[in-house]
Amino acid sequence: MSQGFVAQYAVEAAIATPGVFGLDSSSIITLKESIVGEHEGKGVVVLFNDNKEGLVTITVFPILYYGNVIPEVAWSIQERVKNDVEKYTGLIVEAVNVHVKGVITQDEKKS
Amino acid sequence: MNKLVRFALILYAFLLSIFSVISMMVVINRKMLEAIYFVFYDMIVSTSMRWVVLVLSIFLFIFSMIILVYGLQSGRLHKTRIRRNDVGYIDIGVDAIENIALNTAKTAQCGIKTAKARVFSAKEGKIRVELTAVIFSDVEIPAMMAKVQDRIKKDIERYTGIPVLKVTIKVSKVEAISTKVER
Repeated sequence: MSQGFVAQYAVEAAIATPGVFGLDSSSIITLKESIVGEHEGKGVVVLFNDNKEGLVTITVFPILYYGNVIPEVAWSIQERVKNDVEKYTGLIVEAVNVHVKGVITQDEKKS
Repeated sequence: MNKLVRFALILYAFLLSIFSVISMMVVINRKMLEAIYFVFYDMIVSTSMRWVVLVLSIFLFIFSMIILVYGLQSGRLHKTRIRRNDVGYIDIGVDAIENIALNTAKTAQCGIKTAKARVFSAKEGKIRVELTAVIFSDVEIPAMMAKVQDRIKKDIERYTGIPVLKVTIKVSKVEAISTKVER
């Protein structure tokens, strides 16, 4: 099972969470995208546990909408990502870490 | 404290520039090295100069320690680990907190034209917010800024759950209101 495949499920789950604008990819991944052309799972990092099979740690870097209570949205992201990844891949999610990268207002989105 | 650090930094930059010039000259002309060596040798041999050199180097050491401590203490907050639950941890980035502060300042309708926010860490997991604002000229600064401070503090605490120790507002510029109309 490849990392990108797990990451795609994590991305889908995170974006579908209410209050999330999108995911922020690091500059290194943006660079890779401009060279290689594509990168699976922008804005999430998937780490497999070396010692034990089937354990996975996911870190999500979301950008949220202004006006939401950040911890609450972060908790719902954690729940959703954990449930979705476990349901579709059968892996056991050890931890879902959320690192809120930014907040965006509704007007900025339109422009 | 701030003035002292600035003075130390200026002194350091000055000494570093002298040092770099000397090293450049040494590379170009090898005889310079011998000349410098003799200057230092003379300094150390004569007793009165020895004390001067000792005191100077002690001062430099103290200054460098001050800069080191200052550099470690202050500085931008990198991330705030607010809570750790059984699923994982939640970090709120500095950009997010700064964005909240900015949005609050702009939507408060207190005559703020543009602003810059910076977030620093304070004691006991609290944060300190610094807002540099450009305001319009028809604003009563003390009353309005007090309002903005209050709103920023409340909004950050409500949205992020991180306690705010204090909000500092610096009014950097007052813009005439007519410039807005002309455009």
